[in-house]
Amino acid sequence: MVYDQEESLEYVKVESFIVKAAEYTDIVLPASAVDRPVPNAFIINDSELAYGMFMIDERSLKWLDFNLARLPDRLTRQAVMLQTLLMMQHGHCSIYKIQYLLEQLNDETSTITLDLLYKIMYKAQSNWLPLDLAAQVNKMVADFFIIKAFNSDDKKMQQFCILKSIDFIFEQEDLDMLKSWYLEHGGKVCVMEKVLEMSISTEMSYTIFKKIYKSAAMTD
Amino acid sequence: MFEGHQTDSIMRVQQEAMLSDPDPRIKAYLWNNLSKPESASKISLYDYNMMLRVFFQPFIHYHYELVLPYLELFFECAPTIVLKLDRMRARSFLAGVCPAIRGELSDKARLQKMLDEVTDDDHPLREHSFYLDFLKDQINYIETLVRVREASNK
Repeated sequence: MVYDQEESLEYVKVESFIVKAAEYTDIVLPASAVDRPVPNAFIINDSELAYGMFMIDERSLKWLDFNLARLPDRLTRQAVMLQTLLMMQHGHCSIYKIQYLLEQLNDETSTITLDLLYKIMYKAQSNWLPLDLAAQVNKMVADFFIIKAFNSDDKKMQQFCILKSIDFIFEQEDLDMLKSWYLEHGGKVCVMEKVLEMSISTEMSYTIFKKIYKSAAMTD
Repeated sequence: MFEGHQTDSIMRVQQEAMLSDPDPRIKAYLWNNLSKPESASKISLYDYNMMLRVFFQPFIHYHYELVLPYLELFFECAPTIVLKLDRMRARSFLAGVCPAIRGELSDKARLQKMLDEVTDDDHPLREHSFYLDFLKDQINYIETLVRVREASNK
């Protein structure tokens, strides 16, 4: 249970207890959870010890929309991210919540967490994202990774983020940006007028080339 | 960009890029090769999968608009493809061209009809269990897409 004290967060760890699915209406809470005020958020299965789909309640979800980044433990943030994405996938919350989630991951430095986000959203394209919503969502994810590369001074992180962004680039303006890296910036990655220090690998060039070709065919 | 380089990888990328041109004539060429069993069986599996990939690129709107008429034909030619083409190519064709990604209930109804048509034990498509599994999967897929859309449009 998380209590927001504005300057800091107070955690009350509730000891693990087993809930059998058939008895879910008759849960007896552990003593540490009894007689306490309602927290700002319940974080469920934060250590990811249990299997299953965990539904975050609406009140907690709203608090996490703006405070996920404040949770100090990476695994907890990751657990919340996975649970939120799973809820989107099963239609238990709006896909547009991804915007809040991405904002909360703006300062995330763990490539493990970012890679998980990438994998889930990449699979979403062919598994659970309706075509009419895909354009907006793909643009949000592409922008997220591009801006992350822009804000990073670490060459490896830049390369990581740019590579991830390419699979979500479908808008003409972004395709044109890829083209400009070769035609205007001599094979260097340039984002929002900033030339990044990273270099483009051969594999990345192949992927970019295919994207550029589609773009060039429409604009030339 | 790859001037002076002619490795297999580069040639494959160049070939894929050429066929990715959003030109209606290229889409027609690809469709004819992909959907006619006699042509499709002569193409290597690698090239067949590559052609499917460049044919249907749903997230690029001008590609999507160009293939819309062909997506309608999918429902008619899928059973023939399954009956006449080898299993590997037939599976790739079903997965690569099925318009279920639109998440439209009318597509779900058409897929359900295709499934219902194969109920007789002696129906020639009965022995192609992957076809029946595919139709069931796509019906579930559309249900998922509809659910996600409804939750997002509330």
